[in-house]
Amino acid sequence: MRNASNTMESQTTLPRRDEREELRLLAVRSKQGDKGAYEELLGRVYERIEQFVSNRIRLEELREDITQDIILSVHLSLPSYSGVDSFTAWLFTIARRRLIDFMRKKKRHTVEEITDGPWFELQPAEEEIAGLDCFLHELRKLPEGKQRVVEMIHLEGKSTEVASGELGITENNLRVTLHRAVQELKKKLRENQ
Amino acid sequence: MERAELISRLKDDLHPSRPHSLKRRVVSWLASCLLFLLLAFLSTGTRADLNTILSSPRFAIETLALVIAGVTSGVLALFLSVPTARTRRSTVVVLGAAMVWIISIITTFILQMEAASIGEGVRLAGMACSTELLLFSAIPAGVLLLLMRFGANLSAHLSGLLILLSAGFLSMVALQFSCAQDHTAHLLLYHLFPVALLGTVGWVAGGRLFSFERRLEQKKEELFSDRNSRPEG
Repeated sequence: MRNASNTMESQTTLPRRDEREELRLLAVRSKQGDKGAYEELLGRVYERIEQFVSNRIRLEELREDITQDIILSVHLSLPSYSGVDSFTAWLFTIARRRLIDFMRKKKRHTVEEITDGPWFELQPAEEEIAGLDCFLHELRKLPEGKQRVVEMIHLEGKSTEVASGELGITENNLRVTLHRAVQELKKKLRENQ
Repeated sequence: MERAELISRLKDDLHPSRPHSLKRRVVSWLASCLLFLLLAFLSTGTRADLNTILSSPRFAIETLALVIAGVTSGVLALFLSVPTARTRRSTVVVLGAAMVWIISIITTFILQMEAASIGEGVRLAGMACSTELLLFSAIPAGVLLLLMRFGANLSAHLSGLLILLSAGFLSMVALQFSCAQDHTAHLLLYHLFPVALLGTVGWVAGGRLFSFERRLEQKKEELFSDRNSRPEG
């Protein structure tokens, strides 16, 4: 009963800002012990992580395990979330690092069934982590619209069709925005090297 | 485990957590470093030639490099416990400071051509310095471990390495003021070598202590066993 009322409360009193802000607020409330908010957060995060993993792992039977592993990692790490930084960036950093750990373990046996996502080439893990940190930092400096498009396509692994539908823009428009954002990011990352 | 069940289990397992901001933890670490150095100076006593050595630029450079390396390694370890924190700049500072210290003592060795007294530098009496260093390291290492508990330590080995390196570098600062033996061989063998040893131990221990795999296994066990013991309906 209490959980149900918590869920209702988190659904009704959440400010209708953009999705990332909603996730951040849900995370903050979860940290305060709001179980309803946490249930909602996990539900939404689960889908994103599932998509993130399925874009990188070919074997279907592994996907579920890895997704649950990442969700558990998020659960264990939640107390360390500041509540101020972007929750999405925090979430996907954990997801990528856990995936890299998985790949490291898996590499001992075979790498064939693992494919990498669209943004990063398959690189040694440490380089990838450093690259990711830098990438996320530069991503946060991009204008809101461009940031969201890159996140949806390259972090969440959504198709251009789905992403454009969610953002309410044409697919062509999304591709142009994505291209510009990626060019800007590449330039900034090159400057940093 | 089914998705809905997992979410429900995790929801039930949620506990309110106080925010431990990175900034607050870094400030606590800096304050601890200051206290530790004060405590070390007070308990070890000062070297006989302290007044002379204080005016030496070499001493100033080496001490400053060690302070920076020690404090920043700790800060870097704390940064590593926050998934979104940037670590590149701190890494450069740590490596830079450690390099400055090494270059300084090697340059001194070359300039002063101390080869004739190498035997004196490697005398076993220097073991006292290593022992002191290892004992002192326990304090900053303990403080850092405590502060790291509030983070998400995804780089287990690196976190362990940095914790003990930081503790070792800070203890080396204390030795700068208490050990009068400035021979390069002594510094390398009885001051730097134990720190390298600490780093290696930290790397191995960090992998076990901060292992996410282990924590995940424990959590899974907890969730599953709880489910098994829960009455039906």
